Amino acid sequence: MPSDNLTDLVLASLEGPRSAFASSLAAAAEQVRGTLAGLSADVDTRNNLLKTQLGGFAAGRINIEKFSTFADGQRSVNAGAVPTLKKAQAVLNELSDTGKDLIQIKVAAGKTVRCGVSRGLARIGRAFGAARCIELAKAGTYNDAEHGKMMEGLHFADWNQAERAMAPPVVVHVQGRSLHPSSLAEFMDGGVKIVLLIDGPCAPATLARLISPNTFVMQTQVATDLDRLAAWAGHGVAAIVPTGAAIFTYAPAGNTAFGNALKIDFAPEDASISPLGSLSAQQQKEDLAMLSALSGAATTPLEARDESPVNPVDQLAAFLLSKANIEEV
Amino acid sequence: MSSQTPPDQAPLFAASQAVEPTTYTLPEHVLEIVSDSGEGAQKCGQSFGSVSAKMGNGAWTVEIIPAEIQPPPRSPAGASGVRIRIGTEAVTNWGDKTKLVIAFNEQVLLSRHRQGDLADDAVILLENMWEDHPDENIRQAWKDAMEEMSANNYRITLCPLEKECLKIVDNPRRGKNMFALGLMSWIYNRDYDRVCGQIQHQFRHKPKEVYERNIELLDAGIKWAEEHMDFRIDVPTKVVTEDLVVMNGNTALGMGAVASGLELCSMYPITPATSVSHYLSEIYDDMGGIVHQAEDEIAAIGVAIGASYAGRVAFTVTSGPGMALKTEFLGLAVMTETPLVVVDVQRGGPSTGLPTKVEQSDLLSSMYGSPGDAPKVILAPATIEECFHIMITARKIAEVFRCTVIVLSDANLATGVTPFPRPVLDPDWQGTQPEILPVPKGTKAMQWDPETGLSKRIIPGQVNGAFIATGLSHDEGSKVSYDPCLNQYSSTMRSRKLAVLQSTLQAPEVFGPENPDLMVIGWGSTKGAIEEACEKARAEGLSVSSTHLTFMSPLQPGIGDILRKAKKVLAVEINYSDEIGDPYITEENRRRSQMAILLRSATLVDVDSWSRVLGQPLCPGEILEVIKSKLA
Repeated sequence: MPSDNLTDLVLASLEGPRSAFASSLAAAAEQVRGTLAGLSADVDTRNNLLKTQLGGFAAGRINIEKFSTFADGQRSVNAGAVPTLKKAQAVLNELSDTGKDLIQIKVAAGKTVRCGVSRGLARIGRAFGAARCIELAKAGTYNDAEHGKMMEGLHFADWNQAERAMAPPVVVHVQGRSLHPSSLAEFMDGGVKIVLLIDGPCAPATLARLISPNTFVMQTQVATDLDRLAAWAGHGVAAIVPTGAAIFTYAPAGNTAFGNALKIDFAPEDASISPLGSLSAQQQKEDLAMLSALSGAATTPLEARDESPVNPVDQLAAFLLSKANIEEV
Repeated sequence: MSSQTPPDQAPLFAASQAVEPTTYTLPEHVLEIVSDSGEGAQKCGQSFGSVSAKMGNGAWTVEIIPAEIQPPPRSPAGASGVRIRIGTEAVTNWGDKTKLVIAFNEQVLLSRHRQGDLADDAVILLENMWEDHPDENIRQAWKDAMEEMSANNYRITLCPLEKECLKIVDNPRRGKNMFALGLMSWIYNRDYDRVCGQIQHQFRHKPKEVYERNIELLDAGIKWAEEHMDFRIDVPTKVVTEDLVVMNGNTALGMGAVASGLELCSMYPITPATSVSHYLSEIYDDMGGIVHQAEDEIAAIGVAIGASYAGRVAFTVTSGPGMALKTEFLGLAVMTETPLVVVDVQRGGPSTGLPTKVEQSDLLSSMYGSPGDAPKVILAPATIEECFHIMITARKIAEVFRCTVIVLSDANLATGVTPFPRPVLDPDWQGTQPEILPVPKGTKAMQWDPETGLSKRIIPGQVNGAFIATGLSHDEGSKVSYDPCLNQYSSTMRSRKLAVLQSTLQAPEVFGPENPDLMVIGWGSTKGAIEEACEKARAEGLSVSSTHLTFMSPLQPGIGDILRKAKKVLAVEINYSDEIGDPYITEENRRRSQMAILLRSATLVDVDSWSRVLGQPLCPGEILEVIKSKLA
């Protein structure tokens, strides 16, 4: 299991995007609290809120009770929304109180990393579900049977574009032996950032198959390298790998060729690779070969090749096809 | 060192030899530091003011700002500096005459002398390098200035500022202010650690060596004072029992804007308002918000109206000439009933007028300076603390009443610095964002309540919420209509909102007896000076009260009753009014000060006015003299 110290370092590196999400969560909770106070049946509660909203300058100058007669007229939300708003508020507060644990996912032995990440994101998705329910309740179109489940969990597949963009980073504790990260490709969208803290040995280029035009991919042994992922505007995946695994960073930028965006600091020799869990040595070697191919292919400037310039996406597709057993398909 | 109650006269002292200094304990003192522009007197003075406030003195600083950006050196017009009034009790204004001056040349001192700002027996520490300057013209200018000032009983001590600073820095223009701060710190016995802390804060973005060099200069000033001054001034401090903040009015306005949840400040730079946006630019990145510097004043308010129309409450900040340019869009905001907050940091006018100087001359133009009838809410903070809180109130009123709220600050509040209790932030100040919700079918964009004129705000883009916002006369659905009856009705509805707001207001507070011989009434930044003058008048046995307006439109209720209880009413303002007794001026043709015109119209009380447009705050002493003359 990765040490607590390493986990702390990783969380520290991801603090920027994590706290941005936490702020949004707190702001949403705060906003629903204000809305609820404004909807309170208790006149004193409503007037106290109004008194605060008018600020110190109004003290002794504005009669709050009289002012409230007119302030209430601007209210659009029906009192019938209150139960849903309270439920949503509870969800937001609960998630907010979870703190850094909210973004930590532990993949139990025997479970896949995809399954773990999916469940973790669905838990985070409760915040988006709560926000959606708030809007539905305010609009008077909330139906508990239909919408209530969103507050219990909202799967990544159901997140919209804006929600995917504001996703917090997640830290996944996973056993290296059972790691098949290519299944994480389905989560690579918007601003999703996944960091794998790998326990025990793993395939040397385990993340290689996630390299794609707009996905940041990194294997490193240094937690502070994750600052780059934290600052990355889009989605990405990184792994803190054990000694012996490949060290590389793929940071795509515009139309840069794969190789120019890919920097390999270390790649182990093929000969040292042995079977690991369900992964044969050959499978692991293919990961390494793909990494090497991507790197090598693009290290040669495209315009210097004999053939006409090749689109990097086509290049990757061609490589994958060449490795696929077409007959079985 | 001895301590004694001050004599009637200012302290005498010798400057050439070390003697045991006499300490004069005073309840308050007014001092100034004045230099050419760019020599750092303002920074020095503001630092001194901040340190004094942090030590527990009441403090109020007023910047002395040249009218030009780069005035010629050694010219009276180029005088730049700060006047600081410190006291044991809270200080609410800049006081009367200056008792102690540190001047970097005789020309800037001459400027202060000519303006009549110095006490007849003021103590002056004057840079001595000009007396024997190689340039004959400078020597002559020195001689002439000394002669001009000789009729007064100033106690001038020559001080080798340049010579002493040259021992530490190559360019004394960049060091004299810290040497001067040392002089002031020793004379007023300021806490050395706090002074160093203030310098450290001031140079926090500079290399450590810069801080260290400035401390050397500070120490040199303290040492020189210790060796040459024979008096010290003790203005006792009070133990600070609550958290205080020290800031100027523009910073307070900016901070208040953030606290109130205003997310967009759309502006075009204009003195003396610009520093509001400077402050916001620094903090909006962290707090969430945007300062949009538009291409001109008109675009600036246009962007603010657009943002507000789209569901935010935005504000724009400007000064008098900017307000003039925004006039048409102000009308649009009123006509479309788009919530909008406009901050006008008033300066001397008309036209470009006195960009860096204070006036309260935008009251009537804010209220009536639009074609057609464009009713607006107008608020005026009276203190720097209120500059903070007023933004929260302004936003809420703008939202609830779907109206334009103009906040009339002024240059006195904008650049003055004073301590006030640290606001305890409350998230509810930010209110709730306008609901982005489907609109009930059939709801109209201007569905005026026939009694109150209020209507529910619709955010465009929502289901059933489409409407065309137009500056043309329109019906409840915001559809253009030239029906004359409708124009009468819609004008009534927009105007009614002010009456409704007034129905929620409370009468202003009266300081002093309810039935005085004279009621002095003011608004905005004159509050401190007026109340101090009235207090002194009452102490002299005069029957004087004062009241201060913060809601200028609508006026707070009950003002007529308050004024009618007084035998005489005097409006005191920093704007122009004719003087009875001047050629051609009669009671019939006399142009009165702006609030006086308003009050006469609203209450039918014979409100007299006394006002000045000297480009500087009013002094309590001069108001007291006016009070006495009115009651004579």
